[in-house]
Amino acid sequence: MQDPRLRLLAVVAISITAFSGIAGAFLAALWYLTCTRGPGMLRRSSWPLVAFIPLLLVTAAIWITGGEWLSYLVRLGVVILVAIYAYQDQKPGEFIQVCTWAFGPGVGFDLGLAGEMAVSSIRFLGGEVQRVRQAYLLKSSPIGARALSSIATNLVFGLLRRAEDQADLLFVRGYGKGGVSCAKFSSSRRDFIAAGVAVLLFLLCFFPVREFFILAQ
Amino acid sequence: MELFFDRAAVSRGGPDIRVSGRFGPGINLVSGRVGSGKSTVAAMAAGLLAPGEGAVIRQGIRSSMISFQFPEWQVTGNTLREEIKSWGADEGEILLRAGLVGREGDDPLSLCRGELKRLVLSCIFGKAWDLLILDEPFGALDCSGKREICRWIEARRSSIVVLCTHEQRFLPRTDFLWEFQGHDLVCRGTMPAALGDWELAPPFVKALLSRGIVPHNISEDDLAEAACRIHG
Repeated sequence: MQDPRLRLLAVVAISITAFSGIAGAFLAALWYLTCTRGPGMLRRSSWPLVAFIPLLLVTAAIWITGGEWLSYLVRLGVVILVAIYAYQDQKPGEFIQVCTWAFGPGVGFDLGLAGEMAVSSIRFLGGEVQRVRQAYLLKSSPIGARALSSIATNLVFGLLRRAEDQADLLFVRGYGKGGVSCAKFSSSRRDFIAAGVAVLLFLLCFFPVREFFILAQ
Repeated sequence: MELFFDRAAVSRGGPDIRVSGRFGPGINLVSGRVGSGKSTVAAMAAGLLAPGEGAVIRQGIRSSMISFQFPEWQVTGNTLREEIKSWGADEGEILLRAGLVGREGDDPLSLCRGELKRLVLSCIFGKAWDLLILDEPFGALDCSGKREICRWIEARRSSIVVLCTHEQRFLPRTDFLWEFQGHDLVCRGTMPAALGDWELAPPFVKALLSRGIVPHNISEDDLAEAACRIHG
């Protein structure tokens, strides 16, 4: 989707739909498969699938405690797939543009900046994970449990160092609060269709459409 | 022993980077402007990047290693001791070589980039490799550090050494010169015959050639010797 505003609308609507129940999750999965380039992007770069690890852990805990683990797994699984698509389809700078457009140059810009920095940190993390794997591969060292704790520690410290550098950078560039983003959005027909379908599915799940039709008869 | 690029081409978001030719034992200097594709060639040579077209074929190469431009990309240990151990190297020898004696308990990422570069290069040169790829090994090093790395590289002439750099002053005595023409890597030949065709030759080399003096090679000593041949 070209227009980040429509993408955001679609992602929010379809995520709520997916979380609402098994039927909603099924419809959201259909939307993901037919209206987005998500599966293709996931084939090219599959590392965001690590997001399923915490989901599987929580699902296992629900299963052990006798809860409705299948429903949880299916609903959250689709939400994560949609979130991965939103992340992979997003281009740097879009989040700040959408937030400034939606909430203005004060709060909107600050909110967008925070979000943009968070997303860029995820991208940074993706690159770091790849490099760590490469480093272990080159040394022919196995990545065991001990190595994993060391890798995780280094990644966290790396992110903290990066956050500090970014804060310094914002300071030296004179950032105080708020700002202007001169965004130009372009929407394709496909964007409108995908967003329209997402909103329609959301309405179908949350409004008593069936009762409306019975009354109309 | 040979590294053969069989019309290999790869695209990393920009124009295609193309390499064709054979890298044999000796020091192969890969020269080119920033962004021409040196790191891409290094990654292909190391087998970390598969070419989109063609193939990279290794013949008789049993062991290989790459030194990345950014040394922190190769760190896996939480302390210098762990890091040296991860390379299977001798702790005392490496600390001495890297000038970091007494700091074995420090976090490698707390070192300045020059120190870290010296540490990683010390670990890499602490072992023998059939194929050694060095991507900008001189980055972040001071003059004495660069001279030392040149000596280490020259001691590896029996291996295939692929040295990718845009360093202009401190270079080892080189056997084969490769240069990027746009984004195509071409072999200029052996030293010193290749010097005349070297488009991005260091200014000092160009100045010597313009006076009709051909240095035997491009190391600091060779250039100094050639400069001594200037009369008047």
